[in-house]
Amino acid sequence: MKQSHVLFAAAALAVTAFLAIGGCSSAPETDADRQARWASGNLNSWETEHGIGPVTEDVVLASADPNRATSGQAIFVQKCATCHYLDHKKTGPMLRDITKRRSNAYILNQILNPEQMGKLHPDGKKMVAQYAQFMTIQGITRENAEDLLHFLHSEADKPALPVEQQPGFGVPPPPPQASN
Amino acid sequence: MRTNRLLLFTLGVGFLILVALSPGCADKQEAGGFGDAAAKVYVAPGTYDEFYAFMSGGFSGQVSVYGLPSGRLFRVIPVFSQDPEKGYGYSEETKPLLMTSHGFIPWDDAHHPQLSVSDGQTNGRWLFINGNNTPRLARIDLTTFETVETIEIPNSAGNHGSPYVTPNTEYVVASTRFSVPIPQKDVPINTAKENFKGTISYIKVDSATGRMNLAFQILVPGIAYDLSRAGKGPSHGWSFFSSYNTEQASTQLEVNASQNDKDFIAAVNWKLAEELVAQGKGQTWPANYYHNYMDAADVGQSEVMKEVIMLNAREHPGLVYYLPTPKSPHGCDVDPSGEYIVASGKLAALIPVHSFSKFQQAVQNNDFDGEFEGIPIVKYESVIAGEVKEPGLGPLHTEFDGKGNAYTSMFLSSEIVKWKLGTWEVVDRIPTYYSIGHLMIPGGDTKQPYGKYVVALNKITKDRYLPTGPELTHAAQLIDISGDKMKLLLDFPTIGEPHYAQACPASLLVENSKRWYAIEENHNPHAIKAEGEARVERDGRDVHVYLSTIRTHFAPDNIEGVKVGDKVYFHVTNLEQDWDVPHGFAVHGASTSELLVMPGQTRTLLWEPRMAGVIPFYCTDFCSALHQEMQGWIRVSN
Repeated sequence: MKQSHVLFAAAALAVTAFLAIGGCSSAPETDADRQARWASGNLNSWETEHGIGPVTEDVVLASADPNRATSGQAIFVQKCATCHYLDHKKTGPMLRDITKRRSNAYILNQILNPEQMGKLHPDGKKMVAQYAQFMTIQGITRENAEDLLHFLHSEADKPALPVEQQPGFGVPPPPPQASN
Repeated sequence: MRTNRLLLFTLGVGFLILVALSPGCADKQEAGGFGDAAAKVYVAPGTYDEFYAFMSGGFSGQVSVYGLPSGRLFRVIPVFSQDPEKGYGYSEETKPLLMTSHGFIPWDDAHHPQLSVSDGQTNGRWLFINGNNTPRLARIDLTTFETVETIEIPNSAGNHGSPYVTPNTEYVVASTRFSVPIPQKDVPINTAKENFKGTISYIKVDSATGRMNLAFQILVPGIAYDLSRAGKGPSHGWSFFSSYNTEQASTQLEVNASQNDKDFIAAVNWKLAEELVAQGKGQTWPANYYHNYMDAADVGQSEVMKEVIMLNAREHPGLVYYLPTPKSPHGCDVDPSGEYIVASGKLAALIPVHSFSKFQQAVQNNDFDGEFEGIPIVKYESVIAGEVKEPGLGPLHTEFDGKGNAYTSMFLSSEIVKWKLGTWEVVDRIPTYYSIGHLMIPGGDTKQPYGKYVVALNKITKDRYLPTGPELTHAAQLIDISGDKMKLLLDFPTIGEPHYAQACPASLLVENSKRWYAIEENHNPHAIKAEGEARVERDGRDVHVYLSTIRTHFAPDNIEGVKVGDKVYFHVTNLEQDWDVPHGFAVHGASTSELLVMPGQTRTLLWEPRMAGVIPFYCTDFCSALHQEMQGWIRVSN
């Protein structure tokens, strides 16, 4: 099934690679240079839009892969639903429309590098202030994070669900009274 | 008679020296100032110490972890004592570690931390420590700094000479400081000579897992086996145990156990013992002792062991020899080369040093001076390498710097004396404040010591710190031994009594230190892997609450359906997967402590509600800005 919201941006890679380097400096920036620049609050425009972390280039999904979305749902239930539902506020924000509000790269960086996103990124800092919480590190791999991205894209246009049908909702009612 | 007079004289001189070192004197000694001492112990904020030091907590039953040279306390590791701070010995998972044949015993007297070694050098894998009162050994995993195993030692009393390791951690040892009837029986105490025995135990350590197993015990004459070291290099395959009370006195030991001019170092050929056991020469004795360990699911298990293999020393020629050693030796320390055995007679006026090669020669030459209950006594003159003359008063323990020097603690004269191996001449001495027991050089018992510092472990501090009522802290003192003259750098307080300590370079441990438990590898049968699995289940009068924690909520946070008289098990799984994010759990009316649950770990608290009502529970470890909101209620009905 074709997902209309998924970006098709086949030719953008060269441009974004240039942008990610940050413009006019001639020598490529080392990891240490980049960390120092982030720590000083000097984010470039790509980073401001797409976040900071292991993802430094635009991430393009040709379409949401149903198999990867299924895998992403399982990871969502185990790792994300502790704090996020799609349509109900929990510890963190609702995520139904997150792929419409944030770029793929931003979402991956938020999942893979939540601590620096919360401490050093202007939008991340606002979220920490709003939710009084850093997003927790859950040991999610890059591949798993991409699976989550497929899942979130596949859910974006579906209708909202009641809370007990949210992925990961599972606390059952209390047990019956003892019979004796 | 003559001996008594000498003893009195020795004690008298000791008293005079103690008086001389008493309050007032310290200021004079330090008036010269400490020069650059502050710079040498200053570890700038955010930077690391060079060494980890593991100090016994003595009668606190714990191990404390300090940094050197800063003297900063990092952690207290509960071992033989319950620790409410960590829920150790209170949680259902950790309670089995404190089980013994006498029941649940949540305390012991921990004396000698011992780091595991490979080829005679510290390898940074495990730390062992002995429990003296209810004879036990424990193993701490140095990736988690948690106690993971305890084993009770049967046929023993006063497990003091323990848990010194052989050069590849093949074995840890245990010896009886208090001789008793073995096996136990009801006899008049004054029949000690006839009825009391000692044992020396070898506990095999699995080289892959660290798991301990009491391989065999050696039945030895009933004297007090006090401290031990294993041989290494040429003496690999032997262990040496100091002894006192060769008089076999059973009353007024402070007089009656100090009669003989010489007691013994017991030299035990553990390689031969291994062979004898392999040949089936050991006897199988009935026994009853506990072996407790954290299993692959990180849940404590107890096994009751019912037999032990016993070798009777007098029936196996060549297994044990006695080396005569003056006046109630205490420390029994082997130098880095493995040739010298330093035996500190605590009431002796000199420090005798035995030679392993001379010992071997003497055995070949049948150079014996009779025997003691069937154990051959090697002639003193044939085994002695040299004597350190007039070292000070009350020599106890010796460690080595790897540069040819030995350092011996002097309890009575409160000092450390530095002397040269081979020439036996005293080259330096430094006062300690006060009454030093053990001393420790990082790796100072290994083949290659890190001879930069010696740490004095002092029993008495008197005027060294702000007073805190009648009980004062015990203390450590860090002394620079990098130059010709020892130099005092730092005092710092310790927890309980720091009998002994060991230290190793931080670099051995830092990289292997676990930061959290992977939730996928949590095999606790009551673990939950995701919040959606949180639930409450009833099984008769037992209620199992499968509770998850993550910043900043419990799931479930409302629990109903519990009745007065139920046993409620809170199985708390911390779903965090980040460093330094434990969550705590406490519920009103619990008769145990809190739980403190590491990221990815499951711990269980048993709660037995006694009255109907709505009872709060909450997170005890400040975890985040919304920590105060991390709570819930459990409803209890009649």
